[in-house]
Amino acid sequence: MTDKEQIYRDIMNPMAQQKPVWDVIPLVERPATLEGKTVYIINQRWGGTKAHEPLLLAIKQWLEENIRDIKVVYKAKRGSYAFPDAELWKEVGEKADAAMIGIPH
Amino acid sequence: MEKQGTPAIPILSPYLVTSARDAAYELGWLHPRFVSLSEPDALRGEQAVKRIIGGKDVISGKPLMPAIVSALTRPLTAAEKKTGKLTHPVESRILPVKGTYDEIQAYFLDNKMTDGLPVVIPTEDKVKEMLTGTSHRPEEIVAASFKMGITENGQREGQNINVEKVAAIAVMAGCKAEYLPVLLALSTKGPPYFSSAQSFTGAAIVHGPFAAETGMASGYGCMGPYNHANATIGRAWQLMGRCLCYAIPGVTIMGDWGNNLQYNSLTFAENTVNPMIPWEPFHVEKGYKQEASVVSIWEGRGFRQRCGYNLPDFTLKVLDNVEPEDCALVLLTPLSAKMLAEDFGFATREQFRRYIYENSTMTVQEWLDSDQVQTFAIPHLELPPRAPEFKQMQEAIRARLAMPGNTVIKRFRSPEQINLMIAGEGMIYFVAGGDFHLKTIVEIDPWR
Repeated sequence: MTDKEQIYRDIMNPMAQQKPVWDVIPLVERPATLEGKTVYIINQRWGGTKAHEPLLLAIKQWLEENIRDIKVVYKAKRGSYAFPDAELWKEVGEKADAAMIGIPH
Repeated sequence: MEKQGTPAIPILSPYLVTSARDAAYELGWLHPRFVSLSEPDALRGEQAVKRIIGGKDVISGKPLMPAIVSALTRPLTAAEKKTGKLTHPVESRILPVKGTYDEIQAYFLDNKMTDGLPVVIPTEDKVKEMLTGTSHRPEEIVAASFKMGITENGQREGQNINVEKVAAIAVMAGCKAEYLPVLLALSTKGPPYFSSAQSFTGAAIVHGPFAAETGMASGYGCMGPYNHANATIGRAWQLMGRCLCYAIPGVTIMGDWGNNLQYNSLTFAENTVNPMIPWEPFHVEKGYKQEASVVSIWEGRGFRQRCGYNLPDFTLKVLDNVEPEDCALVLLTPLSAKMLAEDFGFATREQFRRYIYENSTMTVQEWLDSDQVQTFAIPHLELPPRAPEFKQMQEAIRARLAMPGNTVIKRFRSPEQINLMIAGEGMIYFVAGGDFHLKTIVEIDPWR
């Protein structure tokens, strides 16, 4: 038998086991419209506060011009993108009808 | 925010959609509603912002703003409401494959288990032989968690990594059994680099007797190819990123370019034997005994070099490109170190480190222009100080923010951000400087 014909078997698996099982998180029910609703726009500050601010403010402006009685709150989260801002998430949970966060890179 | 009961969407750059889907899946978000810009917006001008606002969401193909409104208001589908469980496949100890050399190489390549180069096939017999390199049992856990990222945002994570798994990777990389202790030491601290848009590499520098015992190069060409131990130990560490935390460019590892130094994770030994070296070894400086074997683990992007007599000045020049707030690693040949001590009067590492600290400068504007400063340093001013050093850092940042842009400031906030390493044969007066920070030092001897 040549080397080319040799059959390799009992080969060890180098791949790590990832977490075996975890829960599906269903989406939260949406409002039928954003009219009259409070919407938070969160700047996650990747690249700095100013890096994405012009676009996020342009989104705010579009929403205010195109959706009746919408209240748009723009906030930069506290700390860098990697820091969980529990205080702000709580505020959003209490005050916002919908929210968006951006923008990584 | 959805966890707080608020319908929420992320707005993404188009180049992050695949990665975001992978992370969302890991978080249990099976049907995420993403909206993607038509092009990246960060630090772009008014023209680009206008184009993006008037452009399309690349996921739905709809105009961007109606797509945002739709993602926040469209009634949920049955699939989006569904609860349940997600699973990763069970990784068997032995792969469910047999075949010829070419077939097995193709299997490893197709299943993203290699760095793109052929591997030594890790048969059970070869792994058993590799395990003779340590006294530790094959089933012993070396790392409960092995992951690429620094955040809890859906990074892939290998769990319960054992000695046998590391040995299999060592075989694949072509290692000898006697190299296994350093690989086990490295495996306790995760992969050689983390996932960032910036293209980092790890570096592993071996100190103490283990380097000579295994034939690692610390002299001629130690940072290049050809030395078996340097080449294969570094490759094995890099393969740990691939196999133990699923490094996939564009999905789990986001370096825009990647980094050629990742091929062998910049692995070499410190030169401690050249008689010209005037200073104590690096690991002794860090408090380890001379006879201890340790590996220092670093992370950075690369080095710049200069060659010539005026080594103190050239050291400052090669560090000019170190990103503000980063650390520095200065590499010297044994001759360079000798000249610094004899001709320039730096009798100790500490004296030369202090010289660099005092004389490496930049302007406040250069500091402000840095992504690192904008992304981390300034936002971190708002965080409660976790430790006295953090408070000191915040005070230093506040002081800089109060200065005019043309004020000249020190590049490094403290001398401790600067490390010096001696490597190479010593035939010439080279200095290299890079943005590597010392992540940790791990003892090798307990893994023998």
